[in-house]
Amino acid sequence: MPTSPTRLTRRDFLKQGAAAAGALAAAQAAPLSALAAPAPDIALAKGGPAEATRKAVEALGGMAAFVKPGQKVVIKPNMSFAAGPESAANTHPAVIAELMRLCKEAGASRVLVLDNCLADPAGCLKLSGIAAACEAIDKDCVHALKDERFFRKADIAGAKVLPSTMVMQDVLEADVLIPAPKAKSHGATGVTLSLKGMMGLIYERESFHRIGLDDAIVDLASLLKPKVKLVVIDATSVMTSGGPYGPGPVAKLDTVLAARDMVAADAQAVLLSEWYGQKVAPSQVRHIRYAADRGLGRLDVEKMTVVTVQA
Amino acid sequence: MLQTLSLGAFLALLWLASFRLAQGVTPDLFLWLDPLGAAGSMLAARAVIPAMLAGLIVIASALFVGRFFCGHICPMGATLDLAQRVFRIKKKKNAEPGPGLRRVKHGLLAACLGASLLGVSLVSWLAPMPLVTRFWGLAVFPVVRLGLDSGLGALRPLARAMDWRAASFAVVTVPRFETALFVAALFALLFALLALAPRFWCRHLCPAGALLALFSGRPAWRRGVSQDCTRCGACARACPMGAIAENPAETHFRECIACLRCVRVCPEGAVRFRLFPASAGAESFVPGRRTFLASGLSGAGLAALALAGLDSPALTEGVSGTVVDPDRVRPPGSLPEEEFLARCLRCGECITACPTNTLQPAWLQAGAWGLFSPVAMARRGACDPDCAECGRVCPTGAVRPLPLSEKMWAKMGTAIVLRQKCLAWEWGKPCLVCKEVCPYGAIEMRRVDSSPVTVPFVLGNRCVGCGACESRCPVQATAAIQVEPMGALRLATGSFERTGRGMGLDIRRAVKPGAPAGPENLAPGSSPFDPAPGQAARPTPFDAAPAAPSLESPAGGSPFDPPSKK
Repeated sequence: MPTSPTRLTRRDFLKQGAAAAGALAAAQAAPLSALAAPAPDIALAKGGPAEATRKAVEALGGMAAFVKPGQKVVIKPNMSFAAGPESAANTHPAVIAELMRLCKEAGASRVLVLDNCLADPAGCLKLSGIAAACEAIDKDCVHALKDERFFRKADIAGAKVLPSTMVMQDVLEADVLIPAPKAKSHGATGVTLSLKGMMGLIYERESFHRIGLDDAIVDLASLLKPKVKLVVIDATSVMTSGGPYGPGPVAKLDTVLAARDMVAADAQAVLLSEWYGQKVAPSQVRHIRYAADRGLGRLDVEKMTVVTVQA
Repeated sequence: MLQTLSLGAFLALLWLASFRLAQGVTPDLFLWLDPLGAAGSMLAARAVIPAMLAGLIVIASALFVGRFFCGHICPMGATLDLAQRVFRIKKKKNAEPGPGLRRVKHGLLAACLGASLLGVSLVSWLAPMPLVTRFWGLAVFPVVRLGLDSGLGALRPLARAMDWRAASFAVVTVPRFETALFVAALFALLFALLALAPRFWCRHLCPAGALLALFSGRPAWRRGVSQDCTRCGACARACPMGAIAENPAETHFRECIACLRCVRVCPEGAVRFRLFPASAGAESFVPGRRTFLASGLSGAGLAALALAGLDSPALTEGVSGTVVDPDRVRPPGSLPEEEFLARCLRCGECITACPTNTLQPAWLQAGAWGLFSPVAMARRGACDPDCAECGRVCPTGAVRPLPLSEKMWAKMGTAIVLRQKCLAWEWGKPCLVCKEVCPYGAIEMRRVDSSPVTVPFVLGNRCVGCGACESRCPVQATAAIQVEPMGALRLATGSFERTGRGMGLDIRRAVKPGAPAGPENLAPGSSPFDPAPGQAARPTPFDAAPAAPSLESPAGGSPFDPPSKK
């Protein structure tokens, strides 16, 4: 039987409004009930990239805790290099695709996967496998943006070295930004995780090396932090040295990490592996330490609630 | 009709080539047909260039159909006709130059061949196909693409509002070329000359047309006028080439391009093109033997001037005394320079087809005789490891067509670090962008005493000269790492890989697409991390002690080997 579109009467409108208000009140109350069984700060899920991604986000409270219906989401992968998943230079495509699915399930109105690639964009999109994996879910959602018109100037209040920069317009207008980096080594910053990965959202990153890489990374992160409700780090395989491009040895950890704050996520990821053949404390990574010093998050992960789940 | 199709095909091929889409076809097809391109470059290169044999066939065709090619196939003629219509260029009354000027094209032809005889190619200055390819590819297409891209940009707010993803993120990349203004100015001049006479270039200047004219004295298929002619002169007024004599029954056959306009305008239907018609020829405008010889000698003289110059194309690179501009980096697979310059038409096909825009028409990087020839400008873009379009679209084989596996070994040059500009070397900042972007793993970060951070070294035997490092170096103005033609592999024949291996080159991709990565570690004693709390400032503050000098080796170094142990 065909359904006819219902007309919205004043009465219905009031009813719906009341229902919505009730729902909002319930949502406000949710944190109180959460106190009883506190959601962990960091979740580590072991397993294949897709399943572990889903499990990790679930363990942290589910995507509905981070993405509300109708919101616009940008996922920031690593896809800067024209290389396949086995090289561990880019985020595993299954991780990004699964995040995309979760966002859609949570009711996001629009989910975009955006990066300003270092290498030739067409090669990055193709060889990383991210475009193919995500476009199967939603078409035209993965883009490597380089052209100036996709970026807008953003001022960074309280910046140390980067008072303003050009950030992707879709990121500035998004409700939620989900950094989803690959865990890998980096010859200049030690590791490159969610904080360092933000450099892929701006128009001109060359100057970072001139003005002070670590401080500039933290400045940029301070600008984007309000949009970051969830961080997912792909540590299914980790390039433990020779990064960011490689080649480097790849350690198979079968782990996906989810956290609410970039600093904690990166700090925990540092502890997952040896880097350049040595154990490293999160505070030894300059940009992570600077970010914590400036109040962008916590790096004392040993004092945080970390759960490990099997996918 | 045929002319429109021909120009359309020419533009379509060039446009597709410029997006790297002309796969499975030869976008350089029209270049093959250039009569002067064929004769001039084969003579200069002293080689048979297979594709260019088509140009010789075009020359031979003149015996049968005269300058049909000029009237129907040549994109230069079509471009001039188009310009005349688009810009509504009206012929000025009595502005037409006298018949003497028609001889100029023959003089230019003789000069061009005279220079080619000495091995110096002036084809790029005079042959219509390279000229017109440069015009469209280097001057017009970038403007069209900028227009399209601006259109997309203007549409973007709407596309975003409607969530038309593909449209909102679409871009048309805009290639940017050196010399474009110069190329455009030359054509502005040719267009302006149309006010004096239609097809001014074809009538008076085109040496390729002159070459065809030499064989079109009385082509088999030609213009004939029947007895019905009333001598009204309508045909003569309509003829774009001024190929009809005062008596309209007579034709200057060497000038006629068989455009058939005279057939269409004749009110009596008296003009027809047929095989072996009864017809009367008129003055040919071919200069005498003496003039030909003089023109040829002046061309040879120009060539001699080139050969005597500091930038002589005949000097051998690498021999002391030969001056090479450090910016003269050639496309991968380019022939040895002398042969390269003899063959290269400077048509700009490779430059138009280059997806990263690294290939640029040269100003003076290759000397005055290499103007418009392709050079790789790494600061603009890097040579893509997964592309060999330049060789594929080159009509003359000046850039050899190579499969990707061979092209990788066709070393274009070597990167050198300008330490005084380098962030890591000079300023102690942790920068490794060059290493990060090198597709061949040719940059190694090492620890040195003079810098607190690791610094880049180029491994010469792994460097291809692609310029990825130079293109991304974050230092402003002059990059701190630059590609020079030093060590470039220029082979006329044979395998680049075999020769390269024989020279000790070790060229491979840093990360092969699809292949697992191998191990690679930081320089010994260096660390990108800060020391752990409570540790010394640097984990290993000292270099390893040098090995104790052996007794045999004299201190201070010696050109001689130590005495052998007995």
